[in-house]
Amino acid sequence: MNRKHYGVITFPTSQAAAAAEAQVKAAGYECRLIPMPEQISAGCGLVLQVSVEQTLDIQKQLRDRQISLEGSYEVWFENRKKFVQKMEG
Amino acid sequence: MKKIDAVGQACPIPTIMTKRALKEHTGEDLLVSVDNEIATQNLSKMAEQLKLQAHVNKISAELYEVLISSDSKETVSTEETAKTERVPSQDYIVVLHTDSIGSGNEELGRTLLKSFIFSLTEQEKLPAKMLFYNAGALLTVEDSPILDDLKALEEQGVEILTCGICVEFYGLKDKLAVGGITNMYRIVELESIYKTVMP
Repeated sequence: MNRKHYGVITFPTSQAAAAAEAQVKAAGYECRLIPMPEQISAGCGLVLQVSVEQTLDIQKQLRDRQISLEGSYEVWFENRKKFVQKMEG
Repeated sequence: MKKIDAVGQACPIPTIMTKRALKEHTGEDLLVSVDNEIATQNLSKMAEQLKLQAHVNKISAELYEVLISSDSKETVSTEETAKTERVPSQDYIVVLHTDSIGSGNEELGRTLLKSFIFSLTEQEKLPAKMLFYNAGALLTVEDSPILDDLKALEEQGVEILTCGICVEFYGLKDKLAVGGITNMYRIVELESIYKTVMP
């Protein structure tokens, strides 16, 4: 996983994120649970970290499987500063 | 040459005995006998900190000799070393003495620990060092759930140190997968000079 540029998918609850992690892993994608970036929400849930190139594909597959998710974001760093932007899909 | 017999002494006693002898016999060579490899690593590390030379000689599986000598004529006292180790006030170290954060649900504690370490990798200012002891030693060995993050931190200059007596206690001596070994004497020293973050 690129540590300086990756995608995150957010879910209604941390439990839903954990359930999605198992499915996404089973589908052969690299992913892991990480804390919610504070730029997305002040809440302290978990989100799914995925490759930025695969984010929208994974989001679509999860939606096709009726897994409720909130959205996808692109995360990148410049001079150790973190930037987050919503991805449309 | 002064000889020190630290065979049978538990960590960090050999280091303490040696440090004391260096203070009392400044400038003299020291020959320290110990019974395990971790003790030799601790002594070598201490010698390096004091800008002295250490040569390890393995006599048998249960006997090692470490020759500590100074190259130059200049004498080094532990007080002088302490002075050189002043650190910038914003520098900090992270200490992990469990493999699960906080009390309550252990599974949640392990999830929180993984989140803590991931968040650490994304801090603008990384810690100078990370110290691991007791169950924290389970985090720096093969199969650690946070090994990738620790390796990434080490690549960026964070020194990862695990307590030798803990590694030995858990039978993980050959499984250390990131960073080096340290002792309680050094841990106390580092915790006293750095701002210490202990989740």
